[in-house]
Amino acid sequence: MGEEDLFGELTDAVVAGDKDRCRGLAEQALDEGVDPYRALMEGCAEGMNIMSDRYDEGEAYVPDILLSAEALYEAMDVLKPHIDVEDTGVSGKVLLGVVEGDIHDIGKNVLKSIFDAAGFDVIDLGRDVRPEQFQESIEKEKPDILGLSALMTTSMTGMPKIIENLQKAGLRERVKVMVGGAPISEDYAEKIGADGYAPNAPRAKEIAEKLLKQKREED
Amino acid sequence: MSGEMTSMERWKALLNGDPVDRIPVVPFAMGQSAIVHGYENLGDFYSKPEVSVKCQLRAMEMFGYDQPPIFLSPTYKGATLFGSEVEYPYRPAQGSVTVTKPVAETPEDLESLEIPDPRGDEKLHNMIEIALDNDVVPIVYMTGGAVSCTAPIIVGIETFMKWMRTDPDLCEVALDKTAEFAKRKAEWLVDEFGADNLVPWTSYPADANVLISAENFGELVLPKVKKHHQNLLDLGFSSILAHWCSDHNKNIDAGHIDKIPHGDPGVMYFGPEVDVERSVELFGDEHIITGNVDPPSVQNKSYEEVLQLCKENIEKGKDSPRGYTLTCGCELPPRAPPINVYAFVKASRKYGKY
Repeated sequence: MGEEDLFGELTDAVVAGDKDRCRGLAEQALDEGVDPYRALMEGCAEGMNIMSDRYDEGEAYVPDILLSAEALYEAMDVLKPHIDVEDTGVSGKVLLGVVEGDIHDIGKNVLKSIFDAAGFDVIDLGRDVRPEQFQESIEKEKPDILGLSALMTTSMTGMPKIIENLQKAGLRERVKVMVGGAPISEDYAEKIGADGYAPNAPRAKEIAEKLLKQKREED
Repeated sequence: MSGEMTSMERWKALLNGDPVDRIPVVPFAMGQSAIVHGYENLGDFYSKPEVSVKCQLRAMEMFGYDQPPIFLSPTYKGATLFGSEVEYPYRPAQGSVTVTKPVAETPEDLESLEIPDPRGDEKLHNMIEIALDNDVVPIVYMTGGAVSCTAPIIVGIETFMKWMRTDPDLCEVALDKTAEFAKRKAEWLVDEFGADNLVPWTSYPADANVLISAENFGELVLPKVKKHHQNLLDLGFSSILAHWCSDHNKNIDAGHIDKIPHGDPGVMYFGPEVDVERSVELFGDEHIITGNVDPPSVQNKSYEEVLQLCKENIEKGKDSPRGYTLTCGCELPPRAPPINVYAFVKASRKYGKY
């Protein structure tokens, strides 16, 4: 199988959410001396892009995305140890988390898989994350972007507190903050001083790329 | 009529199809009643029956809204009775009870999971007793056979979502277990309190089309919800208050919601994603329509803005043939400013008189 065919097969396997096939194809790529980074980005990531677009257009749903993400990670497990970090041209580092008091993390998990597929270096703090954990991780990991998610009206009130804490700690200028989740709106994002808002996970990728570009220009 | 109806007169008249003096206000306030009562968090509200009832009755009286107490059992939809672990919201950032460890993590766990005896839910029994002693007809959670009462109540939601594609038979097993539990619970509550003294509340946030397709809903969930609602009606309940939470537009378009019995009349409570005008057009001839001020606005906007949103909703719903109630689009945000809750009542008095 030629490289392009193999990439196409990987794309199809991610779209189908077929993790066994994904792992097999990733192993085949390594056996055949295919560049693992290209296999990941031109094969698997393309599949995730397709699913992301389908979700955005209402043609795919959470069960489909979750299975595609699982297939993506299966291939990543095989390919990543063989990828030279310098070859990846990783575009930026993103710190993700669901704010304190909220355990609804499906949206954040979908977002993580889309960001992973897009080549971001993603650090996932999980769910029900306290404000001080975000602050400590920003100090330690120095991400370009902080992504905050909330599904509850009670937990969304934690977002401005996190941003205020960053300001007080002198960290606000170091990181772009984007917010999302069911109760969040563009107006609210602006009101609390976030840099970006995404109505859903697929759109968040575009926003993150835009914010990253802004940050690079500012730095 | 010499003066305004009382809150419970208005609520009961609405359900009975009798005239009301003005639009009933049912803001779907739960945790907010505890916060206005002075509680710093919602832990006691969701774990102690006397606190839940006390806060809701006093808030109803203070604000002048028409909503009887709404009861989500301290077992959190039966989760703890099944064996799942939950955390009560004793931190201010928490808005509700959360399942921290669903009981069924594998297919084997699920297959061997026994349906618990709902009569173990003594706290729910206690809540209802206190409410009836105060001469109110409470709204009681009785959802069965849907994703929303199954994941994460007994199975993790991501696990359940993946099973929808890889092992739909397991989803069937899980849904059947919660449907049977809800059926037994409803039978027990009717035996104890009578169908006339309770309003069953069903709620479907995780069955919405932001998560699952209308096709999935139709194949997997619809048959079970139809059966469960019919069971409730056969037990003697005349109205089911169904909260079609979040975006169910595709389920509506597919004709699924129309196939589910809700009572005569039922109470159709869609999220803000389904405009009140659309609810009235599609379901107003058969059911009471309720809705639909979006919750973040109630929490974050000014009194004047919330009053205006209430007015717009009243104008859309007021003439619905079987009646209309002004409601927040989902649970009233616990941290909503009290004055914005009053805006609902004010709007009804100002714009909602018949």
